Amino acid sequence: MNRRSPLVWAVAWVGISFLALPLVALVARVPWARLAEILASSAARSALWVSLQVSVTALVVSVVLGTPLAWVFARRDFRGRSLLRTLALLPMVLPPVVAGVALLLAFGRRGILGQHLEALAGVIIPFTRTAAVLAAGFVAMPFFVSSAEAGFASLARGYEEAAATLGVGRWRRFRRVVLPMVAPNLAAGAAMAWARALGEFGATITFAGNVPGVTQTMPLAVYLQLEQDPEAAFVLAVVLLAISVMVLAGARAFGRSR
Amino acid sequence: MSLSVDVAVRRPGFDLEATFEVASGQVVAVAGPNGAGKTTLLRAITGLERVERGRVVVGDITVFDSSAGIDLETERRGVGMVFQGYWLFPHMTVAENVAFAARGPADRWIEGLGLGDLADRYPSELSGGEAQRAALARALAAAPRALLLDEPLAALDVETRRQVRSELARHLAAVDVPVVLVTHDPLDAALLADWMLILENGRVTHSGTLTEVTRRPRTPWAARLAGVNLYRGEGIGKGIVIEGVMLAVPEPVDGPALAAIAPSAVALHEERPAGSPRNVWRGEVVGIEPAGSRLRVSVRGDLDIVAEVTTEAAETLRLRESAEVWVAVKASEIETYPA
Repeated sequence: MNRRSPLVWAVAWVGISFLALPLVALVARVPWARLAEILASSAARSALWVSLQVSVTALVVSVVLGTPLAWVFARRDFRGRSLLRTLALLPMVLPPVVAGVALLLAFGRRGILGQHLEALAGVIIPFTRTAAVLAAGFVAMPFFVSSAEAGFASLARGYEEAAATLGVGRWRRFRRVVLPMVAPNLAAGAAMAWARALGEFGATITFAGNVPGVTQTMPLAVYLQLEQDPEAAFVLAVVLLAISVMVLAGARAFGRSR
Repeated sequence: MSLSVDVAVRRPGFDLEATFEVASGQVVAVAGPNGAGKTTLLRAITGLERVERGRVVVGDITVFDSSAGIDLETERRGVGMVFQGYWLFPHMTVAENVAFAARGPADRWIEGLGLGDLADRYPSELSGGEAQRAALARALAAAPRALLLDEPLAALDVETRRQVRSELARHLAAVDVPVVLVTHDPLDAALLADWMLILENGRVTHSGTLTEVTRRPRTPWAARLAGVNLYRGEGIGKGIVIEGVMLAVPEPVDGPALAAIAPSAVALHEERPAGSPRNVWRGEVVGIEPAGSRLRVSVRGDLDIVAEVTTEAAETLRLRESAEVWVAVKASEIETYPA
């Protein structure tokens, strides 16, 4: 191997510059003097609060529904498994606006499930906080499922089998043996899913709209403010950037501590 | 309490059928070549392997009975198992591993197996022998009504194995439930078990004490385990015909029969021996290898045979590869039994 290969170095520099330059540009344009004032404004506080509620709820939904799903994918062999797996992971690569349209067609007032929800229970989902949670959960859950499944699949069955021969029942085996051993995978998956939910834009604006205080999350607020008060948009954007950095750093620190 | 096993396992390209019973406090060794189904047999007893047909009774509880539709989950069978890979939980200390399984105080097992100094260590900080003891303590702490051990010494190096074997023998002697121990080492069977089963190709080919099995082996694998020469032949009264060679035997034998000859009972001579031995043939030395303080000499001839001689005898006979020798076996040294 040639350790001095100028061409490779040059291309690598172009690559990292391409990735870093926009972030540097953003940080450079943040009006630090107005930071406190903008963050204290009711519009920013409301967007932050909506984002926090929506993304955390979406994360909880992802973990509650995603853990058993990941377990089934990792541990059970059944017909159609790989098809269902593909389906479950598809939102990771699906254009978010397509996800929004699909959610509308499922849960919208004319949607295949939505029309019955309205007729039978009077429940209307689109353009509500629930819709924002569904949109965020739809795009975020696959990140959790994917990571959790990898964790479950890589855990040798011997540990559970040994626990079973010790007279330990199914639930206690899962809680005391499986969960602690796959915790790093679950944590990493949860971090990725939360970050994805927090950044969700396309599906949210399509399915949940842009209602301030209800469905207007941080990314939507950034987009809106770009026209009205660009400096406010920069501040909100840099907050999201800071959160992303923390998620990534946290995930890596967790990975190293193993 | 006892353990009564009658299982048939069927998988593509492999099937296993075994029936045996182990009394409380007894240790039975299951030996056999690789792929014979030894581990599958243990897993079938625990319920980790699907059993097609049969019945498993642990103490007075029927844990599996295909005809009655009984198939208890592994955790409800009361069958403990020490796996070959131990599977100690890596996120728990030794003490936590034992406590996780324990019915009642765990200290008794931690102290009883000499794990006191290791209680706060994690499995990754244990040597092979220590991990083996921790796994045994954990299995015993769950108060099983039968205990299975899968190659308990296989993961250890030769030095450690000797020491752990004698420790294990001591601990197993104190266990008052039926114990089934899978091994491929005849020494384990001799030192740890009261009697043994030999499993070959999914079938039990031998069962009895080590002495019984090695005195009258029925298969080439068992003969190798016993270290004896084994021949299949046809009994014709006072003799047995093997590959066209008639050997005189002490007891009359008729019909298909087996003949076992201990290598130490085989004499080698430079010249055709005069006098008493009636079973004499000529052969060529095809291999010499040390066996303890003696030499094992493979001779190809009318009947291929392995002889065991002292090094002095080998020198006197000027034994070397392709040397010509006379083989002599006294009739009284041949063990014959129906095939």
